[in-house]
Amino acid sequence: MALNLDLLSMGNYGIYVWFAYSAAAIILFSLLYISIRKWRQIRAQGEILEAELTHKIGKAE
Amino acid sequence: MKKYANPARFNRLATKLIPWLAWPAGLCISLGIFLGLFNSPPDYQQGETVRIMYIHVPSAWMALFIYTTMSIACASGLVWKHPLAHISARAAAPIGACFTFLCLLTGSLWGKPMWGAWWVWDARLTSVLILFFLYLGFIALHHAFDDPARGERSAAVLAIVGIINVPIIKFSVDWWNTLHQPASVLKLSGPEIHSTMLYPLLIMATGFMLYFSVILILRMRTLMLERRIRIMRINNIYQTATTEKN
Amino acid sequence: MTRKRRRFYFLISCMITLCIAAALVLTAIEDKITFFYSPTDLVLKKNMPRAQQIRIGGLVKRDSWKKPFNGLTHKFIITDLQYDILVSFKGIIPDIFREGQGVVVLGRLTENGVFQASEVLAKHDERYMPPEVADALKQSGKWEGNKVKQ
Repeated sequence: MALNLDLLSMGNYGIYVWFAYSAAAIILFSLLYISIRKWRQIRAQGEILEAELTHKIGKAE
Repeated sequence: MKKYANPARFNRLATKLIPWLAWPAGLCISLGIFLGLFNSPPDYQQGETVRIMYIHVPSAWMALFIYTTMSIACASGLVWKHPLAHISARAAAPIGACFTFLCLLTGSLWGKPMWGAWWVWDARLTSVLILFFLYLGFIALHHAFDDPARGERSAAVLAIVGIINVPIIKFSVDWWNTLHQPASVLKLSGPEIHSTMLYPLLIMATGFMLYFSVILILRMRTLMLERRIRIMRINNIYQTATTEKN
Repeated sequence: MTRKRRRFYFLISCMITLCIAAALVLTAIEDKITFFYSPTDLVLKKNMPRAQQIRIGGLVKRDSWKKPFNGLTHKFIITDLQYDILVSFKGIIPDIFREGQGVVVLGRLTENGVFQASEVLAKHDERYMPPEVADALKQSGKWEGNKVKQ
């Protein structure tokens, strides 16, 4: 337990170090998440549009 | 290069490429975090706060690298009109902005315990803050016009003009008196940083670079499909209008 | 000349103009950009601002730091190895403040030649190494000491 506390406190600078690493994790994960979500949205839109257009062409023929 | 401007082809390439980049990115960043937090020595001067360096310095490198590539892409977009140029710049900007923000934030968290201040208006910090605003301005300009092509062009001009800030950031610590230290790694006389600290730093930098390429490809593919959908919609409306007329 | 080539040369000439303009502006406002002056500047420069607070930076001279015994007032000498300035500061000093280390203080030169500081910031150099390595270097006499940037 003592060892764990040492690790966390990092000579009383722990708060700065841990905050920096968590901020990095949050920012990088959010950017990844937003980018993937946006891609899925656009891909779904594209599929819907594609389906509409083929349907329309089918009817026209 | 031009053939990848085709969204379908780019999409196939992206699907193949992303796993090859994403797994090493995750691996490098996890390893970097582990080494940085638990398996590297404290600094003789700065103690344990030196661990912030493993986030701060690679973020700063990425912020500068992404801006430089973005300006070059914008310049080639304006001069040679390559279809992928503006899309790649637009896709890169938010990633660059994130890294710049991370650099400023971790710098602040490092400055407080070491220097004794969260923020000072010295040449290095101020010029990096300007870099952050350049990224934000670039993103905002893309949305400022109804005509996407106009937004693209004005954002490109901003990106090109802003490139002047990159050498200012890099050399600010040599040209003027700053509170920020001079370069430790990228200097002519070789790194002034012990190898036990240099390895985690370089691993983290590699991880950030791979992360950047994954997100860049992902965003470029999104933007290309978005543009294609827009064109398809316009064509569709046009076609419907003409068929109804007949 | 093709249109692409013309656009390319136009871009290059714009960039050159931009660089020159930036260089001129930065040279003109050099005094505003610098974060701190050296003790030499303070002693030799005629047009140093006397009314408002300024920042002085240099090294904390060895064996000059008088730790407060009366309460809070620290006294130490800032040197750039040419001129020394005696600084007096009331407050809490950053953790890495040490003799022989870089420091930047904000304040004003008083009548009696003492620099009255209201803020002390520690400046560290660009060297990073584990404590053991630093000790070994010091013992073997390979320690270069602090380089003063001027």
